[in-house]
Amino acid sequence: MIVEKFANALRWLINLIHLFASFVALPALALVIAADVTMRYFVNQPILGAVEASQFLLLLVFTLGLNFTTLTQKHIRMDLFFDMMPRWMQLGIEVLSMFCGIILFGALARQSFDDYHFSIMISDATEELNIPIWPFQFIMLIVFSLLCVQLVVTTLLKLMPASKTAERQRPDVIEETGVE
Amino acid sequence: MEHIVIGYLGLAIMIVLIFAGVPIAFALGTVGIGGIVMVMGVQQALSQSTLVYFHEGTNFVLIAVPMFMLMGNIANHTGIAAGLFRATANTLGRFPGGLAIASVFGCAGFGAISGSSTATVLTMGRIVMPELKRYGYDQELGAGALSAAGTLGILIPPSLILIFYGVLTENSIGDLFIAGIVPGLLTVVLFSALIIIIATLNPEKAPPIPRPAAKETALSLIEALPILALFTLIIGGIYLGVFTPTEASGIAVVGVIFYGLISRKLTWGAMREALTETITTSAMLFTIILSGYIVTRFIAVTGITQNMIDFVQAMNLGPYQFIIVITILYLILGCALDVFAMLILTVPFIYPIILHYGIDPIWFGIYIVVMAEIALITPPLGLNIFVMNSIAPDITLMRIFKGVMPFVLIELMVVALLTAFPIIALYLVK
Repeated sequence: MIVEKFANALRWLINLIHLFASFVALPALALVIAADVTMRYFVNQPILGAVEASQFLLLLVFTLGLNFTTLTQKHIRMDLFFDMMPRWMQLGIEVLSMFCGIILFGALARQSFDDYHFSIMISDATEELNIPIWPFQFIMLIVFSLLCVQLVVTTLLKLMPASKTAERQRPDVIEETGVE
Repeated sequence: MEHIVIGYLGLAIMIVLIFAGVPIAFALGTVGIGGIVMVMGVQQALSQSTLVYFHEGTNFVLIAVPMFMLMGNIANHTGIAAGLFRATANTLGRFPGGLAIASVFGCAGFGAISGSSTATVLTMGRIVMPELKRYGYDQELGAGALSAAGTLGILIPPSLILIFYGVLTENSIGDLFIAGIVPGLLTVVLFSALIIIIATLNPEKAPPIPRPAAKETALSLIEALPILALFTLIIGGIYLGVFTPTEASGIAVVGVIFYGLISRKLTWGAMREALTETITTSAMLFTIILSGYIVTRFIAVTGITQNMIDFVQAMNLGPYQFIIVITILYLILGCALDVFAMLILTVPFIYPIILHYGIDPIWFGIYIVVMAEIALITPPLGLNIFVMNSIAPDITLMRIFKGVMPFVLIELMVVALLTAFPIIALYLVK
C-alpha cells in the first residue's frame, strides 16, 4: 500500500518533468535553432550564443525525458527469449534489469553530485553566454537519483502479486493516470 | 586478471544480458562502467560516465535527432502521407502493379521526411492497405512491398540510423545523408522492377486500376509539391553546403509545422502527441548512445580492438571476403536484434577493422543501413512485419514474411551492387 502511494506520487512528479521537457525544452530548442538559421541566412545576423543555448537545451531534452521513458518502459530490449520465459524467470530478469539500471544511473548520480559541488566551487560557466553549469548538474543529479528510486519502485510493483498492481504497470494505464 | 580477458568477459556478459532481455542501454552501461572499474578503478569509471554524458548531451550534431524525429512525428499527423500516396498512385497507377509501385514511391517520399522505418510503414500502411484491398491486389504482394518499402525511411535522408552511425564513428552526417540518396533511389527502382515482373507474370496478383483524369493527377501532384520542396530544401541545402544537417533539421521542423498550419491539418492534439513521442524516443536513443560510448571506452582500455584486428589479419581475409563475413554476421544478428542494438553492438568492434582494410567509412555507413533494412524485414524479429501485421491483422505473419522474401533478395542484390561498385554510394559525396 505504501509502495503504491509512493509510486503514484512518483508518477505525478515524473509526468510533471515530462511536461516541461515536451512543452518547454523541446519547442525552445526548435525555436532557437530555426531562429538562428533564419537570422544567419536571411538577415546575415546570427543570434549570439544560439549554438550554446541550443546545446544546453538539448541536454535538458535528453535528461528530462529519461524518467518518463523509463516509466513507460520505452527502453529497447530484446524480448525474443524474454517472452518465452516462465513468469518467475521474467521477474528475475526484471530484478537484474533494475540492478543494471541502478549501476548506470547510480554512477551518473554519484558523479553528478561531485561535479555539481566542483562547478559551484570553481564558478564554472559556459563560454559565450556565461550560463552557470551547476544548475544542469543539479538537474542531472535529481533526474538520475529519481531514476534509481523509480527503478526500485517499479520493480517492487512488478514483484507484488496483486492483480491491480499488474494492471497499473501497463504503460497505457500509467499514461492515463498521469498529469496529461 | 589481464585487461584483454576482462574485455572479452565483459563482452560475453553484455551479450548474455541483452539476450536475457535486460534493456540494451542498461546492459551496455553496466558492462561499460563495471569494466572500467575493473581496469582503471572506481573514480575513473564515475568520471568517465558524466564526462561522456555531458559531452554527448551537449553535442550540437545530436540536435538533429530530436529535430528530425519531431518533423517526422508532426508529418505523421498532418496528412502528408495521404497526399503523397494520391500523387504517386495517380502518376504510377498505369504500370503493371501500379498501386504497389506507388506505395514504394510513397514510402520513399515519406521516408524523406520521417527518417524512421517503422513510422513509414505505420503511416503509409494505414493509407495504402485499404486501397490495395479495394482493387483486389494480392495480399502477400501488397504487404510485402509495403513492409520492404518502409525500410527506405532509414536509407533516404534524413535518416536517424545514419545520424546514429555518424555520431558513433565521428563521420560527417551531411556526407552520409548525401551518400544515401543514390542507393535509396536504386532500391526504389529495383523494388518497382520486381513488382512489375511479378504483376506481368501473374496479372491476377495486381489487377489494373482505373486511370484518373489528367486534371486529377495534376492536382494531386501540386498537393505533393510542398513535401518535394521541403526535401529539396533540406538535402539541397546540405549538399550545397548552405547549412549543416543540424540546421537543416531546425528548418525542417519549422517547414512541416508551417505546412501543417497552412493546410489546417495540424491540430493541438497532434502537436502534443508529436512532442511527447519525440521526447521519449530521443531519451531512449540518447541512453543507448551514452551507454555505447561508455562501452567503447571500456573496449579501448582493454585493447580488444587491436586483438580483433590481429585476429582478422591472421585469417588472411581480403576486403571482399571480410564484407561477406560481416554480411552473414549482420544477417544473423538482424534476426535477433533491434537495428540500433545491432549497430551499437557491432560498430565499435568492426569500425576499426573497416578502417584497417581501407574501406571508406561513409560507404560502410550506407552498407550498414542496408543491412539494417534487411534486419527489419527478416524473421523472427523483423519489426516492419509486426507493424504491418498490426495494420492488417487478417494477413498472417507467415504470409507477410513470404511476401517480403523477394524484396529481401533485392536488398541483398543492392548490398552486392554496393560492394562491387562503391561509387553508387560515394558518387555524390566525391
